[in-house]
Amino acid sequence: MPIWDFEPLSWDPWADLARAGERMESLLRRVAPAMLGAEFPCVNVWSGDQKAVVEAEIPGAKPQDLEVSVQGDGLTIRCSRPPEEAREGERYLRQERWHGEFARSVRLPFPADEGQVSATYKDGILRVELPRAAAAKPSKIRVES
Amino acid sequence: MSDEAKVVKVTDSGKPAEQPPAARTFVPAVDVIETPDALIVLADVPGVTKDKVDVLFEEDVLTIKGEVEAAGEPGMRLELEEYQAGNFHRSFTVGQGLDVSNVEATVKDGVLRLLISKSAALKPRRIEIREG
Repeated sequence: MPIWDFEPLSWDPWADLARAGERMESLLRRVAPAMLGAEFPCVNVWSGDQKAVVEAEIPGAKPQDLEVSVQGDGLTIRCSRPPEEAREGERYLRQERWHGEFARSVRLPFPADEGQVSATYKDGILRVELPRAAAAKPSKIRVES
Repeated sequence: MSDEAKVVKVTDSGKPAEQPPAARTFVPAVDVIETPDALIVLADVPGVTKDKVDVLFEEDVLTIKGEVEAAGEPGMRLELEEYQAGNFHRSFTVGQGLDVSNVEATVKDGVLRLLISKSAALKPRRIEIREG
């Protein structure tokens, strides 16, 4: 019997540090993706039984400047935002917003039914809905005796 | 046009600046363009709709605020999260010579655009030269 029992350490400083790191990274991705070498645009991906949803923040784009293509479980988003050219007599006092052309590929959680993919653009957010391909749907196997 | 830009009222309350909300808040990237008779401010605020944006002028401080609804897909699993939805908040101190009562604010496709007129004294004026 030891002289005293240590309580199991409930505070895990490494986990806290890792969380702080994740937070920092997520913040940097948002404000300065180039610093992380993160790919742009940033995406969020959700998956469900029937479909996957991918969203990307692309403010100020025009639908014709956005291109979405799907092949199997690969999704590619291309976007461009030309700089607003200062006209005669105008000058930039500050220029922080990104411009240029970007392409981003994301691996989906499962192959999508390519013919049924839909994409909408609203309030600067691109949203792609990708129904699960029939072959990738979970199927129940009957167990025979 | 469904996403028709709406003119947002600029309030000049004279109250002390509100504290930014405790929720996660991001600082939007902005461009500021000076034209001969106005200042144009463009801010990237993805996810902000026209009724969720606030533009405030208090003395010489211009504050822009936007609220974003939390993104989420009920019943779905988040597989990859590279960005988090959050509110936007940014303040600028503006110099003299801007007509703060004359500001037009519009939001379209996640970009807030402010058009702030210069006061008459700063606008370029062409002086007619008469024959002597």
